[in-house]
Amino acid sequence: MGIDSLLIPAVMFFALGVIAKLINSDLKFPEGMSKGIGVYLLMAIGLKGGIALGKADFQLAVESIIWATILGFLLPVIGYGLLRFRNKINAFDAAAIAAHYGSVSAATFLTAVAFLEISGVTYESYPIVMMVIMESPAIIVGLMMAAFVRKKLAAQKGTANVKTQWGPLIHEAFTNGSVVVLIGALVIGSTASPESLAKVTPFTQDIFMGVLCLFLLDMGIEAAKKADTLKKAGVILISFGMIMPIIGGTLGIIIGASMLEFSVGGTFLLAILSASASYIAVPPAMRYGVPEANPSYYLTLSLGVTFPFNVVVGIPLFYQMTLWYIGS
Amino acid sequence: MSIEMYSGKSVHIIINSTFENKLIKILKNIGVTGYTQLNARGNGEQGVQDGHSEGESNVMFVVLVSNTLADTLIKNLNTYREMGHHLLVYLHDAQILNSEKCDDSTNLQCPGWTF
Repeated sequence: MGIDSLLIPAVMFFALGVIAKLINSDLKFPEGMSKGIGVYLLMAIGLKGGIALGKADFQLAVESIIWATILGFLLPVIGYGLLRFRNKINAFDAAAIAAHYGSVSAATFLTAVAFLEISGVTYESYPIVMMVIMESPAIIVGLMMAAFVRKKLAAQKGTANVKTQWGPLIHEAFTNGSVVVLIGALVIGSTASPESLAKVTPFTQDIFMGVLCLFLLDMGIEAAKKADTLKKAGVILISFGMIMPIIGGTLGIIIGASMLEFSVGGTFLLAILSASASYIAVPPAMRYGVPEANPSYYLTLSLGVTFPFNVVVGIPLFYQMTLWYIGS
Repeated sequence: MSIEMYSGKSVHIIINSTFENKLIKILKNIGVTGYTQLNARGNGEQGVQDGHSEGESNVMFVVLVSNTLADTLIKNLNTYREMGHHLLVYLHDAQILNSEKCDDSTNLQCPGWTF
């Protein structure tokens, strides 16, 4: 399952988007279409997860939530520590970037789901719930780290510390659109009657893969746009954008297989969640909450480096690692 | 010109869309209730702002104010700029119609105009 993972339509449409941008094609999506497609995909995966969750084991669901919360708080701390090693990266940039890597990329997750479904590998629904849980804690950690740095700098300069306005920031972290759609769809999927859900299935299941292809076409265009800013990011940040997913993915495999005893599919999806970096929910939170950080760094890393890395290298790599780890 | 025009300032403020609600609050607090806002695409130190996601969307506000209110507005915005928020603010001298509300001596805000 090496090169085969790249030959699924979703990944190939991503590559098409990259190529289109690199050859300066005028291909672009109408304004708002990408956001609309994103809402559809989250709704579809949330409904699917909710339906499965309705029949799931309660204790395992609770354990999954606990581990998702732990990962959500742990991953940004690891990321921050790596970035601040030898003071190579400014503390505010490190806090903002680390927050992205503690959160998740629904796009990467959906691509991984597509890979599993095309490969005929089954998976538990718990990772979908874990995706919801892992969206927000990293934002809080990033904001806390930035607030700590701000206080320290103010003390060093002898100036008054600028107090962080936690209320609006926490509200934004837990009520952003992605979280609302996912939680809502999970609840609806687990509580609505099977007969009524069957009427929605043609819309949420049958066309899912096709819509994912469109979404990844757009993501490819957007990822390629970041090529110009890669040079500005520098070798250290670009390396981080590839190393941090491997660390996160490995942690995800250990937790998924050893702690939660998921199957290969479920463990692999948890690895992908832990390896991915947010592109939708975290950037606006960091733009407002950590204005001192340079947004071109974290946007370039999450979309221009880590997303393509995970799609092209991460998916086959983490799948093989999962097989090896569970097999051993 | 036969119609009397009043002098004031046209203030252009380019911000990230995440700062939008904050800016509206700032404007309201200093007595500015009329403004025009436009989606603003561009590129610069912060990277490409093409409106694809909320983290990469800029908005431009245009407000027409008296000279005195412009000073108050700039002072308020500078506070946030010093906190690290990225604001691009520039002023133009403006000749403003709708002059009945635009008396510099009484420090009233000139009504915003829409395009």
